Amino acid sequence: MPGVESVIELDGVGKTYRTGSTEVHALVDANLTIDRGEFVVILGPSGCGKSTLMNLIGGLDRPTTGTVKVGGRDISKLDERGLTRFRRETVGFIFQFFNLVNTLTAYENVQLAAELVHHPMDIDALLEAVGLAGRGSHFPSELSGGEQQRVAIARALVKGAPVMLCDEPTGELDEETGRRVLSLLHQTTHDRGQTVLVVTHNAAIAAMADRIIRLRSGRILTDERNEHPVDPEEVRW
Amino acid sequence: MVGSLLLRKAVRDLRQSAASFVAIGFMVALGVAFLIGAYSVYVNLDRSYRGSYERLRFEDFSIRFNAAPARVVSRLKEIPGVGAVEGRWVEDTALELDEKPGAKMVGRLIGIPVDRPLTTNQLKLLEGRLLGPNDDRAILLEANFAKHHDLHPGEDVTIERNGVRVPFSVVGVVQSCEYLYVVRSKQELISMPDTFGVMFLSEATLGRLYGRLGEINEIHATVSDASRRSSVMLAARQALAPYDPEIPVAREDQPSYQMLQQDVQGFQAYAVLFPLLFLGVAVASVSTMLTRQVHTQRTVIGLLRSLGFSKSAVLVHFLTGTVLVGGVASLSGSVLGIWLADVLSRFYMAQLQVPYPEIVPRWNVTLFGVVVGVLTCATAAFSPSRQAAGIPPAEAMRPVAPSYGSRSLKLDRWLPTGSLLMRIPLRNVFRQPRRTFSTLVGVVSALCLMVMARGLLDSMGSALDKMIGGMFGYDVRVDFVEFQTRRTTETIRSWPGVVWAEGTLELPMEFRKGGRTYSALLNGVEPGSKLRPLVDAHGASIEVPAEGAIFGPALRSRLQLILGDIVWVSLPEQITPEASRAVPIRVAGFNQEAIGTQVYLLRSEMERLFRRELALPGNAITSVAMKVDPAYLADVRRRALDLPHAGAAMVQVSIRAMVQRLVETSRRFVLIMEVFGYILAFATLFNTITINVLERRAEMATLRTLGVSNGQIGRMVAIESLIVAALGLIVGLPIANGFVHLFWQAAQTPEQQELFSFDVQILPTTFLVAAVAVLVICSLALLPALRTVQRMDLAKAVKERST
Ligand SMILES: Nc1ncnc2c1ncn2[C@@H]1O[C@H](COP(=O)(O)OP(=O)(O)OP(=O)(O)O)[C@@H](O)[C@H]1O
Ligand SMILES: [Mg+2]
Repeated sequence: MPGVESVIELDGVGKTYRTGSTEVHALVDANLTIDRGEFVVILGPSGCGKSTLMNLIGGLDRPTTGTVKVGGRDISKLDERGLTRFRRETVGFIFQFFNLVNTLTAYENVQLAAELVHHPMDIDALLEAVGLAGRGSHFPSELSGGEQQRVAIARALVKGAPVMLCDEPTGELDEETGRRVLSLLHQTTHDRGQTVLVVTHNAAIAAMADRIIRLRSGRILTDERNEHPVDPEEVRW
Repeated sequence: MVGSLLLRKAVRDLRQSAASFVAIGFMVALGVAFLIGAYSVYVNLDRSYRGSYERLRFEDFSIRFNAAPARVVSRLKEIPGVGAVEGRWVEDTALELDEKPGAKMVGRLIGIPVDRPLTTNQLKLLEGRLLGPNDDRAILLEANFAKHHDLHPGEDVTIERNGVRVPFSVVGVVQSCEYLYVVRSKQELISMPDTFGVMFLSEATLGRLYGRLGEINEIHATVSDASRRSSVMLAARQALAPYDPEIPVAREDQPSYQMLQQDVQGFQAYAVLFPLLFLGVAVASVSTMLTRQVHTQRTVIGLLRSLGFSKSAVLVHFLTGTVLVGGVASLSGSVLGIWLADVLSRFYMAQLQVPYPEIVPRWNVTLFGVVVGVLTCATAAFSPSRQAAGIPPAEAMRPVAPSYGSRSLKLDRWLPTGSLLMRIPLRNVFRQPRRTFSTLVGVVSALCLMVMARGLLDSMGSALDKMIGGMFGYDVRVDFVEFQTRRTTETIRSWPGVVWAEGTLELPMEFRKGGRTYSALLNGVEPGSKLRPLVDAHGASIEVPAEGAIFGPALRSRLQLILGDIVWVSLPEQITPEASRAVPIRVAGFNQEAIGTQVYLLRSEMERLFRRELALPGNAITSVAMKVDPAYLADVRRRALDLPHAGAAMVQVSIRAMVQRLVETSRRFVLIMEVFGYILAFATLFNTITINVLERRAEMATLRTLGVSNGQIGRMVAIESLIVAALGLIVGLPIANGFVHLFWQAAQTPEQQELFSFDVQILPTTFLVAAVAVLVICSLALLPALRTVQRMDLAKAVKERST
């Protein structure tokens, strides 16, 4: 597609974990290019290397081989300080276990991320967008799992980072809630032209993606474009 | 086996929080080592003294009287139940040393037989030889005196008798069980080896010197049957009735024995209380740490319970790790303790010159220490473990542990607003009460430990100052062996360098109220005395009234005096051979001083009351105290000694040095405690801070994924720790202060409190040092913890649930 710039470029990326004498090849020779504004779903059975891939793109981990470029920058060459800046400005994470700070209210959890960047989005508006208007002063322990995950989404969005990395964001949620959370994610990122990578082992989610990448045993098995993405609201689980 | 799997988990948990368990183990080991060490030293000391008294055949009682023929001893030996009896002449005399010409001292000369060994109160020879039959000019010196003046066999001492100077040659240095702790008399419990020494010479020589050949004025005896001692004492006194005997002094009342016993008892109190304090702190921190561990492991607990593990299995599981640590720590602590006991025992025995030290490992003490160590850990772990077992599985399994959030203090609402990153530490302090509390416990315990030892040293120091400032508000004081008059005072006032001089009439007296009697020094002072200022319990100065007397704290408590009481005062029987008359004196007030065995009244009043009994000259005095221009100190002292009948002249500075040396042994013990205290404080704080940081790995990992830098996290954690440390200081300093007071009260025997009424007085610098130490330790403890956080594997950490 001409005129579309690539945001994420993986070139021969491999990740090997060593525990004592055993080696686990979590990712083998991954080559991947993802364009701005794409909504990508990564599928695969448990242990195939999905989280590993996300962590490499997000700068939480370094590849054993190959290069990872995000926004044109080779992040495998960044030092700790550089990585911190990269995470601050370029990516937003959403985890399976929400990982909210328990001593901060919903609002403050979002605010925490907002304070890290120069031009954050409006927190109240975001909370309203994720359906948590009026719950800002509640602590995580006072919110349901789905509500907590929505706070996590707001927290990831508030920085306005160009890349969103979501590792099984609906894993802990029921079907209905999961769907709502995903459609929310889809909508907000789509409007802003953000690139989104969603990891899941639920194939049903794939229907709403622009692009579907399948992993198996650390290798990219298929990488196909979905010409007719379904509206998230209509996704069947 | 399920049980063994749980055990394996317990061991892995141990390994995972290795740092904290090492810290806990360290604390317990230190406590156990200290308990075993200190208590073994006490047991060694106690047994050694007992053994020494036994081997030297220490008396069971003694009686003093006026001159009696030596043959009364054979009559005493016939009393049924009596063991050995020794009769002897004892004389206090002016004394001079060759190397220190002009330095007059008091020598207590004791006559001993030279043709046979003593049957009671035997001497232990340290240097030279004992006396032989032809040793007419030979003398044995008591070890404390010899050591102080560095005297050895071959040197000379000169005795003054009615102006005649008789030289004696030192042939030996000995220890006497009567003077292991050199005390001159019941009234003068603090002896000054500078001016007072005990020496032994042939009874024939002493008899000839004083024209008392074949006479005795003291008997010392043992009994063959301890249960009949009081009847033997009574019979002995009756047998001596013609010679005006004083009340027999039982072994427990012998002043030297008594002082030593008190010291050993004081040591025992320290040996128990200090280690207990340590272990108490260990209990507090182990307990808070485990409570937190339980909290972070609640999902695991829920899992175990939902899998079908019983409550007791969970309880045992959580106890296991800690008790394991306790066992290992106690055993290693016991090894250290045995070593400590040996080293410290040797040190103390050498310091105290115990005649026959008995230093052996005290196995029962060691066993006790190990048991106490394990019990300490079990006690500490019990409550959190039970709490763990009691968590309902459903609640434990909830994805997010119910946070203290909204239910907790909301104090932070009033805190200033600013960057959230900077506000997080503030609110964490208030929103994580458990964590804050455990840190506070750590800080407060550490403070108590640090303030304790130093506070005791401070108190000793201030007591010394008070004692010397109060009792010796003068620079030089000269005591006379015969009554002087006001003329002497006036002469002294005219000397160059003497700023002021005051005469005092001082006599040992018996004070009686109801059935109680107490021996103390009665001081007749001039009105408005400048050199013997008296203060009350609040430190306000008090005047000696025209009528009645001011009583010291020891008399007040011993005789249970209240204001307005009438106390009957009489001269000790030794001074007035003829039955002495008791004189009523009204209690007009009480003063506060470090050595409370003194009574003050106006000199003129005292003279009026006792003039007849003592055949006092007009304006009689027994000593003159003076304030002296420092440049003239030595000069004035020499002139004072040259006065006729001058017995001894003491310079305040040297007295101070001497008293200081006396408390030196207990100081050293306290110093050891201080070192232990700081080490333990370090361990406690280190432990607390490390847990604080490690507990929050997941939270910090989340922050890092958001792009918060390591530096920012470090600052956050540092601020939080320092805020809590500061809170701890605010709460802890008053607690530590109260704690030292409590401890001081518990550690002192009633007799000690009465004799040396020290007040706890902690210097501001002590608090300051402890406070700074807390802050420094906290900062140091942060470094390794933060480094672990910096090195943590983010990819791994985000997989953990943040709880
Ligand atoms: N720190 C590590 N040490 C060793 N092996 C690891 C480590 N992290 C991941 N692995 C291994 O790497 C492989 C890929 O792990 P990864 O977490 O990427 O899987 P995943 O696709 O996210 O699985 P799931 O869907 O279950 O989350 C797995 O076999 C896993 O066991
Ligand atoms: Mg995964």
